[in-house]
Amino acid sequence: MVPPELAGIDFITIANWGGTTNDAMVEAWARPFTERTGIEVRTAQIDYGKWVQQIRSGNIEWNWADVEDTWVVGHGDLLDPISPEEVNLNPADLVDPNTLLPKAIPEYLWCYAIGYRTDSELEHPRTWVDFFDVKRFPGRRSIYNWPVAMVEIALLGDGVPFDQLYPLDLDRAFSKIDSIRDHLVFWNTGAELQQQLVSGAADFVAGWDNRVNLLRRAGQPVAVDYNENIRQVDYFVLPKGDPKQPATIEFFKVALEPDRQADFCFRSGGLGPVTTSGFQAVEETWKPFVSSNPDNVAVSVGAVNAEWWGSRLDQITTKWYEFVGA
Amino acid sequence: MISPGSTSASAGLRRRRRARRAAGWLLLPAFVFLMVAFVVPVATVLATSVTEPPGGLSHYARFVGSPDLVRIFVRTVGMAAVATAIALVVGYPLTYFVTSGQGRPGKMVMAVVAGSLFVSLIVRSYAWLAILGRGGLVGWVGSRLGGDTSDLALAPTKLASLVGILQYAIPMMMLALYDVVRRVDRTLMHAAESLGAGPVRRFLRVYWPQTVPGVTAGSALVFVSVLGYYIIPSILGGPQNMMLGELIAVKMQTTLEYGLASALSSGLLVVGTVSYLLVRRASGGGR
Repeated sequence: MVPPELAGIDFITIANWGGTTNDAMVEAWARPFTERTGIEVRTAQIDYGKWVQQIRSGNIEWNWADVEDTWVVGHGDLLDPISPEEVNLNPADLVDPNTLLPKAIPEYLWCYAIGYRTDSELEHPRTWVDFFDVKRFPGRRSIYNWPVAMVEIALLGDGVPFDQLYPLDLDRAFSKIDSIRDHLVFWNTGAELQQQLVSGAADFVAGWDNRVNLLRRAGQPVAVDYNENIRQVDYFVLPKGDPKQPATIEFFKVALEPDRQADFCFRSGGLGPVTTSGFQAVEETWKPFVSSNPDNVAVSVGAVNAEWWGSRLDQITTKWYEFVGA
Repeated sequence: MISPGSTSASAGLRRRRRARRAAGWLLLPAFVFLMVAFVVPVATVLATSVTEPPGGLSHYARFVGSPDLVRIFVRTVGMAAVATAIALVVGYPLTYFVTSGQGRPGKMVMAVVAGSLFVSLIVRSYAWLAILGRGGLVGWVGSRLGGDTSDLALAPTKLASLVGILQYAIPMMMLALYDVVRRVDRTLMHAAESLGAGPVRRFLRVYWPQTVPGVTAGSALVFVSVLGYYIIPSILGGPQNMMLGELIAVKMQTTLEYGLASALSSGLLVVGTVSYLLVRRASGGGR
């Protein structure tokens, strides 16, 4: 039974982080959504700048983009409000009630952790200090070509305690990264992270845990060390003034159902359900590989401070790309 | 008294004028295309670079005032210059070989070179990554030969980026040279030889001058297009060996700095135009 407000909407387009995460999203969320509503789901590779431009110009192509907490905080003016009731979410069911924002519903919980090859003679770094210590832990490292969390790990690597990270000292972080440039490669997409680890282009990565878990499940000799992982949250949001919002909200409803959260968690390689009911629906054998597993959260160094990044994200991103390229 | 001859001459003139006017109309589609596809976009970029807030020369000031941006810019121009020079040094003798009546082998070389342009740029770049990267073919062959190269990572590096670029630059140079070199009148070489000129002198005084238009066109083509490359360096060089095109793309799509992106683009435009004019002048062109 299709609700009347969805009449006339043939398709929605969602932008996400591509590769295996896109596959998981299509299978776990988009397919059941299309079966129930008859509305097709098209996907695109996310780019924050492109989406901002679409919303500002009123030519909204992506009805939703899989955005991070750091982006949400600084871009509230581009979003319409959305409440838990609209998407059938009981706030008491949230794994972390603090993840709920006025214009954003939590989508999945994830983290940056150290991925490594298990067949290597090299001992893998277990802390961010180790990660930046190329003498004690020789090997090529790969980090994300993106400032969020990479600035944090550089400062942690330089010995700054987590509770004193913010405000982030960019210059100090950049010079720490510069100090290991000869041992460093960068990844730009999750697929590239996976390719670097499998091909041996990198011995260790500071990367998305789920991408490495997926490789492991596919039989590759790789693993994630969750020690000192850094947590983030991705969100369901509504671009301001989008006429297709009713369909997008319906999509969110499907995605937030406990079995859909669990299915996405497994297919994506461990992107964590935001609800307790969703986490409980995950297969026991798979639970150790879930970012939001309490055991993994317990060894986390902390969460990225989205409030601090918020308004600074765009400016620091600009600096980051110029710093990395120079 | 008007002579019949002059009447027919002025009739001829009228005919030619009319023909020229008709030809003018034929140029209209080309003119419209040129305006829409080239003049307007370039003007827009130049205008954006000075009108995007805060406006004026602020974006240019930020460009030249940033050591990071200047370094990326210089790297880009350097890569284009080196690629052009190598493409010429490799492409010129190859084109000579291809056009010097070698029959089948010559044709095959040209077919391989031109055909290679049909393979997807991304596929080629990843192929080079597999060959040059750590654990790749080069390292493997090296270790089989007894070297300690299993850890060798030739990609992502600036060198790998250059190799990937050359795979495009050399065929482009050869295609530009091909027609010019093919038309060189080789009997002049025999004439020069019979008049006592040695091989070096024959080449420098008789052969080379006839090929200069091709060298100019090829060098300008390669230099200007390499200035704008960004996919190959992004895959084979990595972000740390970024060329300006990639940074411009980031600024247009991700960080939305249209003014700075336009200023950087204008910088490339200036380098491209100036270098073309210099090459043309140096080659005695301008015709």
